[in-house]
Amino acid sequence: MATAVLDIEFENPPDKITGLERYSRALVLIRLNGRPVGKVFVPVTDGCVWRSEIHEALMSSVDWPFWESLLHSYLKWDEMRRKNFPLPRATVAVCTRDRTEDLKRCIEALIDIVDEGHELVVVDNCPSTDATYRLIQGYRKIRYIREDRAGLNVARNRALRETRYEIVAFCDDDAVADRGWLQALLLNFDDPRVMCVTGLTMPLELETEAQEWFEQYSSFGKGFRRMVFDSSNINPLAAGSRVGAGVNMALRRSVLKCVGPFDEALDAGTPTFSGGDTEMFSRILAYGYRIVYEPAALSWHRHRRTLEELVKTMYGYGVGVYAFWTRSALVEGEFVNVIRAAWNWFFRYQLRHLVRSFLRRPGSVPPEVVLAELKGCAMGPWAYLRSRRALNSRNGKKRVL
Amino acid sequence: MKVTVVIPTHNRSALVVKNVSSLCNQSYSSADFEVIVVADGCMDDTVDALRKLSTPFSLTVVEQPWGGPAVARNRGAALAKGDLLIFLDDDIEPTQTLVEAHVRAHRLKPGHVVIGYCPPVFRGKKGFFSICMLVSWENTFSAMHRIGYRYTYRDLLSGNFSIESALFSRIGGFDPAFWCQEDGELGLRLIKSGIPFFFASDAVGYHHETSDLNRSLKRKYEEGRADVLMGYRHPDVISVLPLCRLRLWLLGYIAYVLVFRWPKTGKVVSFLLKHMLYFMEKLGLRYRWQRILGFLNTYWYWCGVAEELGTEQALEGFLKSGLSKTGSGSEVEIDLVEGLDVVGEKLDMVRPEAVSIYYRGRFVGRIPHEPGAERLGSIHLRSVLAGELAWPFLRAIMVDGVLGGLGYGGKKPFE
Repeated sequence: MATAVLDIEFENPPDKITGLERYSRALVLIRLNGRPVGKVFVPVTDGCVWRSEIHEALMSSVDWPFWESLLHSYLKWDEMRRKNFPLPRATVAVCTRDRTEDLKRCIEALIDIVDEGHELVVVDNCPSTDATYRLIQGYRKIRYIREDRAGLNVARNRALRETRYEIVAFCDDDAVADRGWLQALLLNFDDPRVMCVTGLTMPLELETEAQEWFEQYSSFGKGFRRMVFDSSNINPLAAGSRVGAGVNMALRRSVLKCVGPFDEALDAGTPTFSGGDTEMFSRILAYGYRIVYEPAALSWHRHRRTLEELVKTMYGYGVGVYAFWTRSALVEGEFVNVIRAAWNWFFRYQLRHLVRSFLRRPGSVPPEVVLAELKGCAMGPWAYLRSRRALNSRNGKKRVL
Repeated sequence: MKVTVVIPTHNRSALVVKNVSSLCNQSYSSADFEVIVVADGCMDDTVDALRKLSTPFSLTVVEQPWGGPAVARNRGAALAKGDLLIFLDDDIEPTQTLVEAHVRAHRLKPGHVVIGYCPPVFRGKKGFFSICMLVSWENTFSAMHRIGYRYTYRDLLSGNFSIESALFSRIGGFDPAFWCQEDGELGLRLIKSGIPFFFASDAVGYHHETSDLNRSLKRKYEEGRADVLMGYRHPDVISVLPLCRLRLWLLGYIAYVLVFRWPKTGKVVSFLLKHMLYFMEKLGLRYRWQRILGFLNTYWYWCGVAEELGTEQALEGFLKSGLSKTGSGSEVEIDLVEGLDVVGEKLDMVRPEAVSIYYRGRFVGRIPHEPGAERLGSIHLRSVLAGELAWPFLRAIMVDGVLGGLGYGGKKPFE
């Protein structure tokens, strides 16, 4: 049975939550003063979740982020940070392609930021119909940009070039930003070395098994602790596993000048399917800048609902990572590091998941999911070269690299 | 406010012309500031190129025989007519609002020394070396930008800072004996006289970094020499100089042994390692590369120290003279049960050098005395409680139940 996704404020939790007959358990996000501090799983009995159960589960798993949040509210730390650094204005860019149903939910959640002085841009990437255009016509406050060259990274670059403000936050069209998402991201740009901030992404729903598997195997959430990464504490090529994901990130516009644009041969809309965000993270780190993971910047992502879609996503993920490593090896000259990272990933994670899934261990995912990822890895390098060739022939260049 | 911008330069005509040209379109009224360029032993076309410029402000170019940046800046300051001095290096490219930002910061924080922000800019593709330089510069600035940062004398960076002229002459200007770290030495005298620092992140001047590996190693050598001089002038800071701590680190100790006991082997080793850096970079071995560079930097630093002091015995004697001068500083005890605001006010009045923190008589932690660092205030207390002392402080207030009202069920962090 499915898992309900609940969101509870620690200070005044409801006595019980009812109407959960469809679910066997619940994933509860706990907040303290609005800031996410932890998540717990609790059983659902007779369609109800009781306060005491949440409390018990929380207390057995309570961790540093919880105490830190208590302390910071006692010291009024966030107010001090805000006083020290007046929040800059930002552009929020939603890159989309033919997904009006998801997009509508996404922009409904974001529309208020326009009144706070920020800018909201929808980049319509190589649309097959004018449905997105017609949807945006209904919102006067949103800026519409049409980008006819296919590719998520093409759309991201376009957004970076056309933005009105120095900081650009990206939200995927299948995600829903929480209240305060943008503020939480922006607060971290008080450090000039921070080039990128990523946030916590929770599942919007866990209605199907495929969504639960995705959450288990490849969760976007990287915990509830704020982390500051630079090349001294993380291998840039392994950034994808800990830093976060493009579904919920903000960049400085100066990234174009200091680090270079997104690689347009990568990510959705090209033969490489994904990897564009991780590649950018790795370059940011390799060039000496910082990336902050800020769990207070929360967004909710609707995972793929069916197993077929999940398998396809995981295949695309494998292709993307290896395509990105191919680029790192060929363009950035990181041969040795690529081999090290690939070795680590295979022996520390993929092989273990594969064995567990064949043994049908509890909490493991179906073997086809892991196999799809491995198959994707094998195809990654060729996909990158193909994508690069297609890109160059479109731009009228001869050389592949 | 009348402002004087002082720019010392030495044989870098292209850079200094760029600097002065950027000052031409400042948001601050150009009638209200003048620029003095001190050509310090320039053999190139600096003076001619500058005299050809037509500027909306008054531009004075003075020449002097090569005397080092400290002498050049003092000379410029002596000629200044402004109430506020802004010192810029010749490789800084000021943004339009730089002068305005400095003036604003002084209005906001009268009596402070204002340190501007110089993000480094590199030409061409970024190699490991330029990334390394970028990281070390930006780390310096981002540390100063944190709330509750405790400034030290090393934070006074002469590339872009401003000070009231009266204060500058009262403190005696730069010490001409220093050819390197003259800014830190001035910073130390300012800190000792209780002058507060302020980092203005909006006073931006881009720093066109032209250094390379060889120059940077030479700089380390000069820093070693300057630190010894610093120790002679101010024995109380010897205990925070790198030469006091470097031997505790294995690679630092090895470099020390090479320099002082086997200088010939040292030369060979440093030569080989310097060339190994190239291959490390080709292979993309970032971490190894950093370690080797760290070793080379230390090696050259020790060479500078050895140049000044000669023998190991002299070094030991030097360090001892420092330890005898390092006092424990004025320390106060505070009990946080009185409330953070009350305690904070008290700290701001006393401004001690060290603080012992208690909560209801229970020891929480200590902010120790640090020679060459500014005195403590309420802002430092909060940041230490939110950072280094977070755990002990949480434990202390939990026991007291200060946070009990939050309904966390009486659970304590260490149960």
